[in-house]
Amino acid sequence: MSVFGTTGSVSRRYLCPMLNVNPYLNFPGTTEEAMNFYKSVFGGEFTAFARFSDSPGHEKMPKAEQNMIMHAALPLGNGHTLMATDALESMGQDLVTGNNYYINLATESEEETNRLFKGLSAGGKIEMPLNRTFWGAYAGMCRDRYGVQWMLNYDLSS
Amino acid sequence: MARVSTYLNFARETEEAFKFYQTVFGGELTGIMRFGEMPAAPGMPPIADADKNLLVHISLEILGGHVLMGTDAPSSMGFQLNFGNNSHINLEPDTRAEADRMFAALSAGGAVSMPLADMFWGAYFGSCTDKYGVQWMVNTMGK
Repeated sequence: MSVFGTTGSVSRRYLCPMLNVNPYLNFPGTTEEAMNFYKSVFGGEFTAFARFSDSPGHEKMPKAEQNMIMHAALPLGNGHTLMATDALESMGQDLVTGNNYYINLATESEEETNRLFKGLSAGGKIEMPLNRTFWGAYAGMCRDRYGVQWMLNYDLSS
Repeated sequence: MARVSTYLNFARETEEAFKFYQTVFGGELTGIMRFGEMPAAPGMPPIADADKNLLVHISLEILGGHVLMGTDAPSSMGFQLNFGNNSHINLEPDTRAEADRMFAALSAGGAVSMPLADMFWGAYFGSCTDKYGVQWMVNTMGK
């Protein structure tokens, strides 16, 4: 399944049956830009980056949509992967960006927390600045420039 | 990064929703804290009696060590919750039988957006919105 992997090891990773849970985001044609933004924040390399033009039947799709992203995956560390796809207007996929869902990152140091928070909130909106909370964490919340909501939580007792 | 988890907001149904997720995934509901138990912070208005039983926090390990967390975000506290369709929780169970079971359970009372079926990328895949408005994808490469 070459569409899901840019390298052999990646394809094997994707094809390997294993228990996993990952956040899967939809964007209105901005997946490529958004995922490159996340790559600039988290580092690492995409383990999958496929356009709709890589899929069977793509020739029937509107030209502009053929170039959109069908599936992109960016490892966030410790086996977690951020995944995304473009929602297609031609398929009637009306995107509503909600505020009921956060990706919660348990970080490993204040320095890492500061760096990721600054990166993710740049051009977005800080909902709760990083601070020492009553639950014993250094934590903050933000909505990034693509409407995705993040919580960062560094457990100060760790 | 030590861990990535999913944090959901509900208006006032977090406890009910998490009990529902527990019926699907099993496991223990942990880390339960109610608004009535929260230490008062300077400048924070008092919690209304009707809101004291609502959840500040709850968590449930769902699959492969992934932790689902939740909180109530009631309008009485000024929250304006708006359920989007831009985020899914993607489950990758080991087997088709597990995929069928989870999908049937999660979509009960909700809406199936794509029934489970064989996909061109080699997976058995489907997507649904549960009765609390949370979107799920189930994708298995297993037998």
